[in-house]
Amino acid sequence: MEGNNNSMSESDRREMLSDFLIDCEVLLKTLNDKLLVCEKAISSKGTIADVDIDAMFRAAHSIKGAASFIGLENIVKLTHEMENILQKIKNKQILMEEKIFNVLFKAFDKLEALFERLKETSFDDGDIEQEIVSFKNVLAFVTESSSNSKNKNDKYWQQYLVETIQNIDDFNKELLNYEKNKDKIDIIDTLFRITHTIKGSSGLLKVSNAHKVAHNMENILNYARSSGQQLDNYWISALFGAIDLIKEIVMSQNDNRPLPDNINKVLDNLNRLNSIIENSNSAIVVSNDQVEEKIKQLITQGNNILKISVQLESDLSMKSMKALLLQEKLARITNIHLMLPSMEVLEKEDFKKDVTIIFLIDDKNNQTDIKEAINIDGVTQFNIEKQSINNSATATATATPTTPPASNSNSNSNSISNSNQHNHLEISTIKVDSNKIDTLLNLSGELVILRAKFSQILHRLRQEKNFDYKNINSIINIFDETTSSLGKMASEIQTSVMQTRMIPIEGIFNRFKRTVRDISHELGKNIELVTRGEDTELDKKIVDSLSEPLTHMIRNAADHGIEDQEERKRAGKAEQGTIYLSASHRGNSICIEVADDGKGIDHNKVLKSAIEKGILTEEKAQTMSKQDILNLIFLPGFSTAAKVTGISGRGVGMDVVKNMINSVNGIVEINTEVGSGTSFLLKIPLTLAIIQALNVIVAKEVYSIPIESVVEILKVHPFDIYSVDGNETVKLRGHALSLIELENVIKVQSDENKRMGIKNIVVITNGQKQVGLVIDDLIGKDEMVIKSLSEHFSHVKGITGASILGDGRVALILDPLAIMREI
Amino acid sequence: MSKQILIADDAPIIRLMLKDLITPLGYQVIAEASNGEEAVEKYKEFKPDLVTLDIIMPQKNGIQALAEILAINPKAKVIMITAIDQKEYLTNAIKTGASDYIVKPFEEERVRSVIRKALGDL
Repeated sequence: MEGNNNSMSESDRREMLSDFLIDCEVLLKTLNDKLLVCEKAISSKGTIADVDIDAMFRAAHSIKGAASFIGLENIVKLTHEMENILQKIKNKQILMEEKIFNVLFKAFDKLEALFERLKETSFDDGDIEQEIVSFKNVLAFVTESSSNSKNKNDKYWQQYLVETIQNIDDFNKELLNYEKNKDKIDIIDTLFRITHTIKGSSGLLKVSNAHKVAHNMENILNYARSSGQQLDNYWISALFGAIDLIKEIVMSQNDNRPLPDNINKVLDNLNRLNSIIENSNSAIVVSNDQVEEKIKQLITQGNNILKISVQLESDLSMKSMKALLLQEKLARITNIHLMLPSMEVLEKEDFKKDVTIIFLIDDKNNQTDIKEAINIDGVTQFNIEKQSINNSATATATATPTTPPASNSNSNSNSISNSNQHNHLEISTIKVDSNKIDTLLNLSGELVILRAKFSQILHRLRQEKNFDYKNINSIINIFDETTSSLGKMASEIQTSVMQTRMIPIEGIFNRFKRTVRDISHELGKNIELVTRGEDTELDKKIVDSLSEPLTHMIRNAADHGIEDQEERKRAGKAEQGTIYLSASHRGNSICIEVADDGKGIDHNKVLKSAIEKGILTEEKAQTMSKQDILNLIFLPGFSTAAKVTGISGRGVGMDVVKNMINSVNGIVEINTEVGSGTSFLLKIPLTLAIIQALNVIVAKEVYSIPIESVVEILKVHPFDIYSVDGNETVKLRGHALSLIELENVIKVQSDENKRMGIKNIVVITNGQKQVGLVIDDLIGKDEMVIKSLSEHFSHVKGITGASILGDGRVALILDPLAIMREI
Repeated sequence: MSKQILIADDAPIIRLMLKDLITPLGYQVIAEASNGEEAVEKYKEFKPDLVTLDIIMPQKNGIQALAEILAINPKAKVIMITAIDQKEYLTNAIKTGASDYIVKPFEEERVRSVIRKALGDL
């Protein structure tokens, strides 16, 4: 115990020991007190404050430090373990649960015992082996058990979440790319790399389900990479299903909700696919596309078709001969429409791998003969499926455990992707281009220089004792100059900070490629999504809030807009329908267009439907313009869809889209031409943080009107104001414009001296109609930083937020859309 | 009554090996032939359930014999015995109507499986 303290004399040691004991008395008391606090919290299922844990940690640390100085090895060892475990609790790696508490408490008892012994004998000897072991045990157990409950605030978790979601998006993008360019092996490399990353980080964070799925995906991709085989749609769908599953797993972990029900189904499917690969090492994958296409063609020609898949043993020699034998035998009893791989391919390579041969033959109701013909040596499995129009294959013969019918996987992947639409994900962290940060850093550096300039000015002013006019004047000039550079810098900083919130819209655009792919598969339509302006940047919050309305609009376009292939052919259009999604900047707003080359919206049908639904009277309908009629589709509960499909037409209509766009102060415009397509134009402000606004005075208060809604400003003489149905109205260029008083909307205290003379009017619009807002006075246009109102004001209609003016006054920001709804 | 098999091969050792493989399966080797001509004759005589026919045989080769046997009985089950380098002959045999084939040198398990499957017993 005292081995390394030879240099220390016995009296020195005694003196230090007594100091040590005095110091430690306080520390031990802290430990004791805090442990009791913990015990209470644990038994009452309360929470333990971080400061308590921290206090214990520091106490243990201090005792350890002092004890090691005197060479009290046992105390050092014991406190080291305590410190260790407390640190883990502090870092939220493990929870302070009963098991851990018990170990800590026992260790503390032992520690006290050691101190007693130290007082008596001046040595800390005693057996601490048992405590050390129980520390080790409890740690080993706990790290494992607590790994299942993820702490959302864990910094690693946030990082993992952001990265993984990004990787999932990338994966979807690349896989879509691969689906179109199957000859590009390098895409497989990319997919493999992404999957590998997801697998790695999921493993690190012990998201074991995601790790498992990614591992399976990696196998599939690795196989495709090493064998050079192209993956057909069946495998691609499986990969899509798998990546959706990973997203589900990660999100459900993040939201602390149970894993999706279908996880086992998808996992089973993946495992099965993997076992195909693992069993065969390198099975030959027959392109399912070709088969499916041929089946469709044959069935539409009125044939009854059987699809036969035969798997040949991997170590069979002369496989092409077996294939020939099968072909000959089948040819003797029925017609063969298709054989894949063809004899030529089979002859070329004498495979050292599994081969599955697919035959499409006429169904002559002679399945027994067929079975007899193909049940020959070397065939490990065979499968006979009757093919019907809707392509849902009905297996009729010996089932093969390893090749599930393709329709299964489709429904699996669909069910996942559908459930995905409900969990709208929001990640509060944001990736910022480091250049933007650099700019900010530079600006803040210049700010420091400016500050120095100001203190220099102050210094000069202080020295100016004589108040010499000339000197003062020069100081004022410098002051003026510096102030204006401060102003410039402030606006530059403001722009740069705003820039950090700007992200390219590419992220959600890419997601839609996947959406369109899924929809076209589901609807059996051939649709391409063309995107433009993906690098257009806008506020992250807006990008997030756009994802849902855009999904609705794209689904609408695919479902109602784009016709099916026959209809398009009849109309003389290209068989492939196209949905255009483009983004561009226009001044301070961004324009997003969702257009399709489909059948367009017939305004007469809209009108008819509106009258049938009782939304309109026939007389009123007479007076409506085409644009007015089209705007009807934004009304709640309006749908022209003849049939409800799985995708749209269930009442979640354009009104929802419009409301969502309105909630980010945007407006929707619609343009359509029957026969050639429809286009929806969304105009959205660049950011929600700062707006351009027109400041006005009403009843002595300042209000800001977002500039996007302002059409023009008028002065109106009272003689020009008419009363129509009790509403004040003016005639503006031949159209009636109703006037509204703000006090009628937001119940402000009305001015005592009612405005008598000429009225100032701001004409505002929501994209569909215009109204005139009566104001007392105009201040001017300014940039306003929006401060959101607290929850207490959420029920106040017509106000979206507040802002602070240059002179410190508060200006309320009006919500023109809400105001127009109110009247 | 157990199913009957005719073995046709010019090499006695092959006939012996096949016989030793077939008999334990419960089939009866009812006759043997050492050339194609003889094989056709024996087929007419015994009407066996299955014939194993070597492709390369003197006098009448296996493919000719196969054609003649199928002429007698279009549903005759004939297993060709072939070496790994006789792809062309085998292709012909398959196109002529052979039920299956066995590759020399024999893999015993495969021989058993070919014969049993051809007879519909597996």
